[in-house]
Amino acid sequence: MKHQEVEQEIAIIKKMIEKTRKETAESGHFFIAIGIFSICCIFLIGVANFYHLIHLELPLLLIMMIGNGLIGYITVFRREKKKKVHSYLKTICYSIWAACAVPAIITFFLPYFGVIPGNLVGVFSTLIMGIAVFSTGVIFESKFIVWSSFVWWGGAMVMAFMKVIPQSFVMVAVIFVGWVMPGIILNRRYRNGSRTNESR
Amino acid sequence: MSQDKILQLDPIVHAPVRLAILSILITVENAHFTFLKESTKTTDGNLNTHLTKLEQSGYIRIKKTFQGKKPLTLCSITKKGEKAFHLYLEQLDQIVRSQKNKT
Repeated sequence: MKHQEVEQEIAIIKKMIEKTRKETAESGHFFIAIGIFSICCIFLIGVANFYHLIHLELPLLLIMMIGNGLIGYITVFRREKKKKVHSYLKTICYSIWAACAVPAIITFFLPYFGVIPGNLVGVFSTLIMGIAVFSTGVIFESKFIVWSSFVWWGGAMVMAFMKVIPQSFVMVAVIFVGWVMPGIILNRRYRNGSRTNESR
Repeated sequence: MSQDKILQLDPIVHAPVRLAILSILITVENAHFTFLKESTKTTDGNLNTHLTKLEQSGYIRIKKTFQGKKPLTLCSITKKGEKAFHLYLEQLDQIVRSQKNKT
């Protein structure tokens, strides 16, 4: 076997792996859409609490949960079903998101049963979401996403010393920096990848 | 390059289209027939022949299913296929090293 032939074979392997990597890259739409929707809902919850419209809190929470579920279905489940390649990384990542979303959702409802005080909801759910963001950063090999998980955990520490109303506004900031921004970075990386793919 | 190393190379993996198929499948959970066809730039019949050969060797698994009314062929690599691919890469690496040593 000549040196040239070996190089050709290595080139085939590299090309195929690169093509597959681009095909399975995360678009970040899930992060951006869920992040913006959650920011709107939590901001409205904060405003409702500020004006003592407590009766609006639960409906807004339900709208946020159902809306996020629908966004997740559209941006992840339906799109993945149509994709021609399925990667282990994405399967692991989506499983982690689901595993973290369920306890975060449960936490939102615990104060209504008197299990935990209302001001701990934001703290617990933020801590849980930090785990999801950290794992996502490690899986997608993005240092920025790994570091943004510390925004979640830092936010949780700050919220632990706050009352419910200002907590909502801290959470809005945390979601923007720790969820929407990583989504924008993933999306930029995804678009750059598609552009180089098209130019080939 | 010694003749022994050429003989040691797995002929199933050595074919360019089959090498390309295994390179794709090694990195994913599964891939559709259409994706493999687009990536390897082969015809349906040609790809089918290579996939059958890989399946017969136990290197890949082919699952035929339906997405709605459309038939769907999903391919994934087996443990045996993973081992064969990694061994092939090691052998390529050895060849490159031995050629470098010669020069």
